[in-house]
Amino acid sequence: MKLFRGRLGFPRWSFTDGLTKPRRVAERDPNELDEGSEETTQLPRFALTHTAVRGARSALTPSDRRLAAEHGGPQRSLPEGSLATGGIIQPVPSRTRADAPAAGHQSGTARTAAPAEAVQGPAQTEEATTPTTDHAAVTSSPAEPVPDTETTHVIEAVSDAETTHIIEAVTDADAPAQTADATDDDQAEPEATADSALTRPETGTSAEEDEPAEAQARSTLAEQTTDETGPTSQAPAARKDEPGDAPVILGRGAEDVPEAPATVDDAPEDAPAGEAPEQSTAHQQAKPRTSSTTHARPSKSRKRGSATKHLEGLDPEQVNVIEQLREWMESHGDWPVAPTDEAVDLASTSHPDRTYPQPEYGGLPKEPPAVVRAKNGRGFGGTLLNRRRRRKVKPRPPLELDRQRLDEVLTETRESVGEALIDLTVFEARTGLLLASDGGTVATTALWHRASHDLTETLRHADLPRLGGYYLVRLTGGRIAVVVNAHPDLGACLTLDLEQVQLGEVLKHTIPSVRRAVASAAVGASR
Amino acid sequence: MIAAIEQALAEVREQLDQALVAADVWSTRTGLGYASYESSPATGPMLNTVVQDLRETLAASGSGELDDLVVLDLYGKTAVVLVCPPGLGAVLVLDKHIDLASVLTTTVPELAERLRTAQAEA
Repeated sequence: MKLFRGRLGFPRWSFTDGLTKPRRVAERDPNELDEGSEETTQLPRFALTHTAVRGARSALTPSDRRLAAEHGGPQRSLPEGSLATGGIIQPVPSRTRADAPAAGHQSGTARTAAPAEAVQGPAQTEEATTPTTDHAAVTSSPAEPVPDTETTHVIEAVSDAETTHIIEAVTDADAPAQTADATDDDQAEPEATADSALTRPETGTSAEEDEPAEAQARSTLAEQTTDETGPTSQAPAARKDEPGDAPVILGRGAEDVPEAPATVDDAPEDAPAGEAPEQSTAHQQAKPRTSSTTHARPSKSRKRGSATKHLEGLDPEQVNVIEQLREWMESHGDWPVAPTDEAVDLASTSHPDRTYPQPEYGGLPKEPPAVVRAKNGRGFGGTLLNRRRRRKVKPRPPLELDRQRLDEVLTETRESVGEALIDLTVFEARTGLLLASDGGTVATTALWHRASHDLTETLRHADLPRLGGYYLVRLTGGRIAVVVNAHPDLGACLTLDLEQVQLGEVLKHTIPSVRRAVASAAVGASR
Repeated sequence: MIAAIEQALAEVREQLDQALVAADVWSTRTGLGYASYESSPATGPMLNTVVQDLRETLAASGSGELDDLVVLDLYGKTAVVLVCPPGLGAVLVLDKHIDLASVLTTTVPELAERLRTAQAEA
């Protein structure tokens, strides 16, 4: 299961193996019904709302569309023809202002503008501060297409539970009771508080009584649109399209129409002083109810709206930093490219107040480098020898021997040395195994090989160079033993009689010839 | 004895001159050096260990016993190890280009004789 960041900002959980790339939203045809193919992307349930509002941008898989069609058909409060046509969810039909009055009085928030007071008259100014869904209905009017951000906010607002269920729940249980209660309260006590006005209708209830479920569903959906979108951007534009409505006052525009309480946020500035506390109270009391019914999480659009509102209050010149920099450049000229005399004086060592302690410098070594090198062998570089990166040595190929040649070597040596040769053994240098012998034994060969190994290891610590081509040992009885390293994989051991041959002759001729002859026995890549 | 050993080394230096790279004389019992010339303190004890190992190896193989001379062909040098019974050992590190046969026939026997004399006088 892999988390993808969707195009609309919400995470998309893909239940694929992580290798298959999910299809992009833009690549999908909303009207496509691919029954055979298995889509790899599954969107959250709340994407149904997105589809219901904007079918043209459907991001559902065919299976989700089928599921939405199955659940959305009979259960939705909206007309079936508008939601699911032929199994495909279509955009919500455009709603005009005539449909709006019956919508969503039960859960409106005080953050939304209240245009209803323009319809109902100044007597209900206090109630007008409470939100109605008129504005929300206007925002979804067909005259002006709703921007993408609005759709996104709708999706964010609705919880993971199916929108159908939400609408159904509001329609069946909550909304009718509240509507009835609110209607009674309105008739009995017209000067009710803003809190009570949140849960009662403001306009005639005849249409609402005819289709309470449908009206409540629309109001809920539209109310969410209004609430999450915020009053800053969508509300004014939508209100301008409806000439008969009371304008929503935002920001500076509130100065033009002071009698219209636009939003609770602007209430301390725009609204009369006496109404402000009630408006804020209404907002505070209405907020938890709203979140309990339809709010899924705090909306990002709320922050955007507030940020936009703050930017509207700023002077553009204060924001334009480039203009300020240009003005600074015009007044001060170019950037300084050279230090001033004052800066040089302050930074120099001859500063009258600042003290400059001389750094401790030990100077050059007392002993010259040659002396140091003589004492330490390699000089200072020798200390880093152990840290030097060791080169990787390629493994040697296996030894390949020409056994016929090896026999010829034994014969040639016997002929050249003559009677002085007591024994001759050729052994494998790594293991000490005997390869060819003329008078030698396996035990003797192994022991000489062991002695060679110990000698090599000891010389490493004797501050002497490595063992070279041979070493010889004078034995009692006038004999001499010579161990020859003829090849990296081959060695030879000779025992000579010094009464038969001179030591100089052995050193000059015998040992070199034996080395060459034994080395010639190795063939192939091992040579 | 030490004076005699030093005297013997001085004569070898005169004979070999530039061909002598280093020299060392040590006790075969303890491995400690009596005299040295341009040699490392580890050279004598290590070569003494080499000689002891060779003795053990020859004794195990049945090939005989170590007499008095071991010649090691090293990279660029030649080391001649003398065993002077009863308790001295010496090494002469020679240059590669020297005539090793003449050294082994003339210089090395003379040094061995002087060392034996030094031990006998002590």
